[in-house]
Amino acid sequence: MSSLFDAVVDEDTLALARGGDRVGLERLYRAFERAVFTLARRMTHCPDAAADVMQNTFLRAFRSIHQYRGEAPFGHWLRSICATEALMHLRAGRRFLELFEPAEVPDEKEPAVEDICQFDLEKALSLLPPLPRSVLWLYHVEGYNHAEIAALCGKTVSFSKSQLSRAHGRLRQLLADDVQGAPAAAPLRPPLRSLL
Amino acid sequence: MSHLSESLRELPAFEPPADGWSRLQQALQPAPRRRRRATAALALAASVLAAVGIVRLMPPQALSPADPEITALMQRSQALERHLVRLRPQVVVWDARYAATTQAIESDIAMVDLQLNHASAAGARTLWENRVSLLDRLVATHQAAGEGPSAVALAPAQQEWSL
Repeated sequence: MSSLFDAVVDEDTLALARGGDRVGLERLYRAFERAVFTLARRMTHCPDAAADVMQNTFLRAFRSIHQYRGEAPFGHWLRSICATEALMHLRAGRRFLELFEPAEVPDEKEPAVEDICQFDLEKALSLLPPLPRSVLWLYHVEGYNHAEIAALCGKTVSFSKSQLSRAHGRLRQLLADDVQGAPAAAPLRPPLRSLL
Repeated sequence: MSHLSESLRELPAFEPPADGWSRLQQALQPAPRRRRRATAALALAASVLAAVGIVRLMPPQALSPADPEITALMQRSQALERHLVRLRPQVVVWDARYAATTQAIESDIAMVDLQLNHASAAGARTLWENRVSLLDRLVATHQAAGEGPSAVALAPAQQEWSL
């Protein structure tokens, strides 16, 4: 399954948008509003904050669209702006302070819990701290590599790796707790897929 | 792709707010409208002050544009802006720290520009100096960002971390 940011934008739309034409801008907005809002929501875990991040993302993108030269898909360019805006939001909320603490985190493998349903995964995701959750999402869903995540955060590659490792460890713990705490005979809903 | 990646990608997307586009349209209103509003507010304030005799009109010579220092500052400002256009990279990866700094500087420049619309020649010189100083900082920030991990992250040698 590809990212929502992989949507293809035709040259006519881009040309209109570059000229400031409202039709072109609205086409771009409609093509990527769900992608931008979903990424913002996953990173901020707050609908209102995600709406603000989305607004700032499109504003920044439309005001600097002349910088986009088409060397990468438009959605990927927009995604980097959205990720930056979301990280700026987290930092503005001073939640970065605790999250940027240097930590020696053991190399955690991905969660190896079987029979996890989407509901449980969604719940576990919501309980992760903001930055590990953001790194997890950028890495696993948006396909960023550690070097790119490090650049977004203004940190090192090992920082990105440690945040991802922390997210894996916490996710595994949350999912294990969830499995152990669930009624054995009557799960809330059938498992959608196993994680590993 | 790992199973975790697949499972996360299968989570449903969130529906954006229904009024998102109308909010964005409002925010995208062209600057002249805001400038007109600011002009009207300044004109109103000036007329009130003049009406109560608190201020006098500026001397005519202060409004003269033929100030070589200002001309030099304007040329320096234009040169910096051209340099900025060349510096601003094809942005694939943004660094949140640099983005925040540039955003703050650009806001300050916008404020200076607003004041320049209503400045006397004497005030304009100071404002142009401020503008050049801010542009210098903006250029330095972009250069620092270009030399930082953002630029390194785009180099092919770093792609070993790709999924």
